[in-house]
Amino acid sequence: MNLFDQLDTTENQALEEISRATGPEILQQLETNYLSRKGILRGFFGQMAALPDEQKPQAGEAINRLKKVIEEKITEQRKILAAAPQTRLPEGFFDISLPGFEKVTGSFHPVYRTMQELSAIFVRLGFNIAYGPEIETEFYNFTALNIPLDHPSRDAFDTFYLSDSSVSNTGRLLLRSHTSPVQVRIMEKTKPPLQVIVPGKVFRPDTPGPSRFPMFHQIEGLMVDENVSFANLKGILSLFIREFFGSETRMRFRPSFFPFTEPSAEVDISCVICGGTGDRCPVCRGEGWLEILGAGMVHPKVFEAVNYDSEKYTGFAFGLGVERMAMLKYSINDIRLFTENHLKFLEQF
Amino acid sequence: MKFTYQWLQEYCSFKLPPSDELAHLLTMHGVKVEHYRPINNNDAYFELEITANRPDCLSVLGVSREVAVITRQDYQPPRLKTLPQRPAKAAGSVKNIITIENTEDCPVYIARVIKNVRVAPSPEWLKKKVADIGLRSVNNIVDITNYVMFEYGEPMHAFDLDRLAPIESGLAEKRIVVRRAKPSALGGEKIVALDGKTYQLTSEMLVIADAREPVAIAGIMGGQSTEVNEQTTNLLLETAYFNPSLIRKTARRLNLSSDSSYRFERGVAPSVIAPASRRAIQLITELAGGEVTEQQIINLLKTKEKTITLRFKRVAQILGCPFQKSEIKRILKGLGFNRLSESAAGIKIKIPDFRNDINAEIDLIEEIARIRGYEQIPTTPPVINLKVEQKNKVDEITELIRPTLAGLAYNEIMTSSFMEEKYQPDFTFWSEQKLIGLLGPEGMEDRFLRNSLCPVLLLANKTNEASERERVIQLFEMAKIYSRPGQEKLMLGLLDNQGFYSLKGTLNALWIKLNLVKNISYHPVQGEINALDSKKMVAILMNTETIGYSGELSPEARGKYETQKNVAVAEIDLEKIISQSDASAVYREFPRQPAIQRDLAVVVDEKIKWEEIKSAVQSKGGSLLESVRFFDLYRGKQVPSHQKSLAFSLYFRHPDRTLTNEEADKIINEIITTLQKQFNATLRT
Repeated sequence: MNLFDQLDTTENQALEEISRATGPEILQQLETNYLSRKGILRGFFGQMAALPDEQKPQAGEAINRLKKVIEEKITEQRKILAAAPQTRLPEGFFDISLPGFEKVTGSFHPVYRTMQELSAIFVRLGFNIAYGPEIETEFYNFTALNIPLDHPSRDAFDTFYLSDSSVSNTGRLLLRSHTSPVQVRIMEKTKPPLQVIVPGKVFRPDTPGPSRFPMFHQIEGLMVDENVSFANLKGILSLFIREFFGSETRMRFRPSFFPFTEPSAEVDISCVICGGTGDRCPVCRGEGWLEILGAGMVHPKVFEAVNYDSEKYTGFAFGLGVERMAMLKYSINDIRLFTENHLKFLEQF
Repeated sequence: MKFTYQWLQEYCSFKLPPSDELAHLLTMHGVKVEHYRPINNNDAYFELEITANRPDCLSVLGVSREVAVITRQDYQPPRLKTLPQRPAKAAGSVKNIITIENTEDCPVYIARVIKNVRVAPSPEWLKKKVADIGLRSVNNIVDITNYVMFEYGEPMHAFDLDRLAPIESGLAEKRIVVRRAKPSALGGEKIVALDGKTYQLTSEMLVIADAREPVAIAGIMGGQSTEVNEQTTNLLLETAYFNPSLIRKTARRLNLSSDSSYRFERGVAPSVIAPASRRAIQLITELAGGEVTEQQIINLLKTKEKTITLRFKRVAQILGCPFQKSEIKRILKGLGFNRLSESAAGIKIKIPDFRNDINAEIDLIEEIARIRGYEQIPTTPPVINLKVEQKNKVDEITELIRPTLAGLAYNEIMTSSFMEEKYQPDFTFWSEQKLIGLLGPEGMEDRFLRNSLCPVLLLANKTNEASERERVIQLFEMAKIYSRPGQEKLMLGLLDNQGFYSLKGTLNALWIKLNLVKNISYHPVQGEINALDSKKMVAILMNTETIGYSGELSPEARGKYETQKNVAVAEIDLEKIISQSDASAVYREFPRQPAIQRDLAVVVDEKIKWEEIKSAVQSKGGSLLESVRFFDLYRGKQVPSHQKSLAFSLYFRHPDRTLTNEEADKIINEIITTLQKQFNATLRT
């Protein structure tokens, strides 16, 4: 192969190698290979000596031209690499920015999740968990809880009755309007001392709205022993509230009325949204306090209904709404979101 | 209960605390202030939320007594100007003008006839009072009855005397009969009440009637025909006591409640009835002139004196801290409870009739705590005797299932227990009976309890498919279904919109977690599940007991539940699983020699079941074949029609040494030969 042919071959090879170069260090190497003092082109100059004299200028010109072509090509490739490093993905390049394989997990419903969280706190305090039926009788839902059938105290417990229920000696069948009937069922079967919580569904014929739904969840608490006092009720609830809402949360007890507890209390916490300042707060409506549960000392009449000696034993009971807790915890503003079951909602928990 | 700060001040012998402080004090001592709004520098608007046990606070007088004891002031009842009690002559001549047919319904009735009154707009001060209690000013007479009701808590009603049809009855001229309305069997009775609406009355309702017809629904609302207006000159003023339970039932039945019924059904203090009547008469004669010409007072209410003994020790026991005797006595006295006797151990108290909520020692203890302030009671965690209780079985299983399914990318949902009746026939696996109906407020059946979780799961699927057509939807819930009264079952419901096999895979994973793989089998469903494709459904058995079903929707059901996908559902009776599951697994030695895996694909007739192939492979594979796992089913161009290709992996392993490829290949060839002979199978390459 004569020198001119070799120059042609070298040109093709060099241009291809340069255009395939993926980084500046490779271009540097090619530059050294072709253009340095010990490079390939220098070798061609050495071969010129063997040529007839009339060809020497021609060959010199051709080698110089090739040198210029390679130099230009290297410069051009440097620009390409600098401008768009992503445009070429040669083998060996590892793109850590690509996403991982898609793996999906499911979710727990925020209400059930909150119910478990709340229950777990009481379990850690030494309470047991019990359940009761959702279809109840008038006896358990009302009578045994000292709620007379035709009395205004029942107004707070508007109730769904079953349409084709036969009336038994425990009264008509209904959907329980609170978890308190389970108190009675537990005490009928168990002797004190006992401390138990009852999570479950309850039903009231409310028109659905942002804060009302005809089905919701409560957790009922009950503790009975000798010398269980109102101070103890405050003690338990104070521990619970600080555990669930945070240690800075304040609690206050207000007198209230429930037929099955005496004394009765409504329990407020300092607003978890505004920190209790009430300042233009939409959640506590500027009051700084949020009503979160009802509580009290078990009424002696309830003990009578289950044949407990109300002189010997005293106890407290409390009930809280799980949806309300979940709404406060997750800043949810409409109770209806819970039963809509939109995945875009559920996936957030 | 509405009033203003200045109005309350009128009835207090002491200076009230500033209004905002008063609002806070009331709320913290059991008289909850629902709304509080300052009107100007020295007045404020109050609305109280009075609990059902405290009718005594449904009057400004009652609230003033409460404020006195809360703020540690001596309570002096205000001297309100009333018609003198004596001499009786001043109150008109006593006449027999009332007939009460049932004195249990109405034991007290005071009727006074006032003649020659001038009905006119109320003076400004009265108009303001009426506005303060949230009512519209009508005229001086009606406004006085409302005003006195809010003063004393005793509702009253004024009739236009001349529009009452006189009742001929021997010598005396009767004006009023208190009786039950005529039973509907006798044609019944109707009344147009003051709200302009017509009410159909029944014999369970008490009315005030004249000679012809009812002129008022007793204790609830007067009738339009005898209302007091500008033409009225002669009045009959009714002040009475009606049976609370009767009023409540009537108000609920008629869906009509009023300030009057609200008070009667909670119980009016008998001792305020007479003073309230005299107060109203006084104001009427002052503002509208006229004079009392006739009156009759019937009082057959038997009031028992109520006494309760309070033990000081019991106060400390219930509340959890000692209270000073002097403080206990101050509170009881301030509430109007008079001391009858006292010993070192306790104190005997007489309960006034305005406190019908105080019936036992515990009620007195609450009063002490309430007036003293709940914040004064210490916060003391109780002592709990340690013991280990058995963990609840329901929790044990649900707490295993919940994270397992969430880990398999299922979203837990929460559905309403109610279901529309039109879904009743779709999933009758557990019960074919009609749904349990619920009575609405009107007494009509307007809601039903679900008989299956599947319809509610499918409705959640519909919501999500409508929002994002192509997404994978996998849902579950553990909740109750209701087959008949007294039979509610805790179910696990699952939904997967990738079809039958996807859901079956989930179920299999669940059985592994529950350690039930060996107990579970799938069988054809006996009978029908209407919403499922009859070819694509199975009954799930645990040992020999059916515990649930799974299947894919039929084309019709897909239409009904608005889905385009191969949605599969399953429903499992959790209680059955709970009763049998023993969640603890037992460790088995596992082989540590390397396995050899080989894949095979065979083409067989369409009708041959995987299970048949699998058992043939297993029996030929012998002890060295550890497992056979199906991985693909193919029908299409590359296999002849009415045939299908089944692909599966074979895992060979020797328990003690490394198996050679030759050994594995030998078994595979035998398996292939068997499949060729037994099923006419061809190898697919």
